[in-house]
Amino acid sequence: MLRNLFSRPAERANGNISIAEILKGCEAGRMQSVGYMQVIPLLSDINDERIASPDEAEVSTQNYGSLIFNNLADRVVIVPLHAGYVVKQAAQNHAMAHAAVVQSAASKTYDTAMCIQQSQGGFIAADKYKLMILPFALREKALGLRKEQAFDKLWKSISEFNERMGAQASGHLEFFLEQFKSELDQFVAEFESVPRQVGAIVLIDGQVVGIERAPSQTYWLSIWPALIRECYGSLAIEYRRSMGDKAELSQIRIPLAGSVNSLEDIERLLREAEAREEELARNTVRSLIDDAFVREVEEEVEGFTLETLSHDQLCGQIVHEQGNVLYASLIVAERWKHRSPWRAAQPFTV
Amino acid sequence: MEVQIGGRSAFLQRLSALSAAEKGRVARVVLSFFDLAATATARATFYNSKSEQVNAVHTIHDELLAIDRGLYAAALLLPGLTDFNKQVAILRMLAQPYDSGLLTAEQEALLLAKLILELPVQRRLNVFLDLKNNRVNNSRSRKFILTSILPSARLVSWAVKYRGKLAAVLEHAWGKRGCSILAAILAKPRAEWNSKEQGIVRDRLLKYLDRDANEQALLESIGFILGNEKNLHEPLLTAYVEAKQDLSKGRRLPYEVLEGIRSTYHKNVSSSTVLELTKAQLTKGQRLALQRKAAEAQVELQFNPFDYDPVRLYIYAYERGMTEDIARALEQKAQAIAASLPQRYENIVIIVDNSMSMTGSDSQRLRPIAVALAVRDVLRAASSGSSVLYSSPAVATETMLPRCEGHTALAELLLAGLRSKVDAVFVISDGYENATAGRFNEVMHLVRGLGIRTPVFQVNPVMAAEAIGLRRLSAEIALLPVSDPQALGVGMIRGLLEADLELACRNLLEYSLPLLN
Repeated sequence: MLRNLFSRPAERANGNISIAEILKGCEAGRMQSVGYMQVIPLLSDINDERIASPDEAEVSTQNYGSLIFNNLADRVVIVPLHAGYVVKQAAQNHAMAHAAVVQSAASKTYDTAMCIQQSQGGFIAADKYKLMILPFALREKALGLRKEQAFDKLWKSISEFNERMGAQASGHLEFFLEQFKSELDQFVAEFESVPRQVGAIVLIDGQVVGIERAPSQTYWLSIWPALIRECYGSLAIEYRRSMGDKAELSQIRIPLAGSVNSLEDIERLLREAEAREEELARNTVRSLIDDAFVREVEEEVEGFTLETLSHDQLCGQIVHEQGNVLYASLIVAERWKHRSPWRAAQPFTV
Repeated sequence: MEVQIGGRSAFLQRLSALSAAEKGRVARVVLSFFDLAATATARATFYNSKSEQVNAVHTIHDELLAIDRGLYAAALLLPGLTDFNKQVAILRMLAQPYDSGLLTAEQEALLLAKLILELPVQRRLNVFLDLKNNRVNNSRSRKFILTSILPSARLVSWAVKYRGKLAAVLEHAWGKRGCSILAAILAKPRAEWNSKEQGIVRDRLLKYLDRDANEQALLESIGFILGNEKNLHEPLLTAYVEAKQDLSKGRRLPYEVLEGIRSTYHKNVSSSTVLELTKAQLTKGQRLALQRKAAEAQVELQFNPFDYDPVRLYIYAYERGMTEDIARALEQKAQAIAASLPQRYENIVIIVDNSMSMTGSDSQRLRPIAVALAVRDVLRAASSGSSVLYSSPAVATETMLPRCEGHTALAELLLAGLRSKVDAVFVISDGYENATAGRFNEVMHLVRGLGIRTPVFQVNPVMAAEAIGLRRLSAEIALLPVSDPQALGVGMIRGLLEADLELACRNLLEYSLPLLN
């Protein structure tokens, strides 16, 4: 059971942290599956309302490459990993290269932010804006650049990404977002939040690509549309393009096959297919590697610690309070594509 | 006078002579029109932007009009056509001159007048402004503009509410010079008009009035619309002018007009003062919409739930709470609509999708679930026995307002519904299935393979413009697009269109053309 994986014993004595610990207190909900994408909702009764949603902070820029968050709440705000803001005013769109913890009722400037709209000038006026999360393909790059102070540090990657997706090759993320607007919107409609949901494990064609956790259901609802639309939606589009004309059915989609003579037979087939799909997805989750993460503390605010984690398979950031993880955003690392076959390979024998 | 439609047999013969491919194309276009006719508004849905909706509607109107002007006209007569579709149709038919077809020119004029007069005045004015923007200025358009504005007993009220729009529309009909001449004449006392000026006023204005109509109200209203604010006697017009100096003088004005004057000339006065001043003038719609604001401002507003349609009542109930009065009104309205349906049932199953997406988009918040519940009530009222299954049963208790939460898994519910002997299964859903996508369709195929022919209908309360049509759960089921439970009967006729085009068109003409009378 996936539930058991999440409720393994607490943090290891040597300071390592596992996926089970990151998802402690969660259980898996019923998988949702449309096209190549699957989402396993993470449900929890832990609903920590001490953390405000990102939409409770005003966002602005005063310099290129810096983002200012003015926390209007009397609680800490966690700015989700790779939050971005595409605004309608004549101002340069920006995104964060990392997550952030902003003190209650305080303003904080991050000079490590990035411009995501190459040839647009102007600063974003302080206000609340719709949240965007960087497309999946840019997130690992951005995370690797989180300490650099250079407003143009993501332009090359954006340009390559756009070109790969058939959009105009330049450091303008909005070119991709505009070209694929209707497809991206579909993902928001197709994957619905469920009661008690605080997170999700996202799979493309049966392979885990991301793990997301929020401190509360309210917080989750505030970030899910951005995660499913720009971040994972873009990955699903990219994957579909790579599959060309092949039928858009995931490897873990089990068709209802077999002879039936009654409604009860159909019901049985349906139950079996759903169970097999769930099992396939859960096996993929179970096969997540259990290596120790490399941990790096980034900042500590009001008792909450932001850390960067990475190992062979996953990279991302978490926010925890004395080891209890409130927020997590982990994505599958690019290197895993090359390393996973070696990890699965058997020693040579004759 | 009963309208006789002469071209019906000729039209059906033409239809019959079409090749299979041509018939297929006609069927596709008519079905798409049906999908959009009863559901499309010029607003964003959960899935589609405003521009996608608008483009989809324009495209399908053009296609149907290109196939046959008479068939297009017949389709426009169907009950439940949304105002946005009416606006698009009026613009099309006025922009393209009448040639020939199922309806005579006089009958087509009757149809246009019907469509125009069914529109609320602000939408009517928007259509006329569209004519202006599209440079449609023929004698037919001018006639429709002037005959639908000038004789109205409500012109004074419209003049204070829509002064700018009316001025632009009248300028389109009379031209700039014509308007300025008329404005100059109307600014003078009537006794000072010379014979030429009297002739102009008679030709431009008075000839449109009935014998016992209020000439003075028309003359003052038009003068006011064209810029005159002096020597006015009509109480609403004087209230408008005086409220600029003294807000309390505007208490007889509509709420939004006085609020506009307050925000321009009395910025230091709060808008709750306007609400208090104008509470006796509020329209039924405003009474409903302003309940929250009134509660905050501690202004008591009475509203009668029996005055509103079921969809608006459900939206209101979600926002402000269900009351016994609202519940009674909903039940009564459902009974009335059910009585007008072409069909009644003995025993049906109603599956309500109350997943999260049924909350709708920001601009149409709660509308999909409100339509779904209103349709549920009508279907229950139209059958001797019914059972209702919800996609999120944990949040759909016996109360009348199920919450929208969770994923969409309808295949299991379909099987549950088919287990008992029923006349039909109605699935009220936006068609976005995710646990697992496509499962409903697979189950339907297997069910039909067993020889179970129980009719299954999908009532879709949301327009999905991306496919110029609606999201369908399965090719095996009939799709009934519905934005208003009143249009459920039309949806039922639509089911026929999918089976037999000629029969469906015959039924369409038989059903819709008598509505011209």
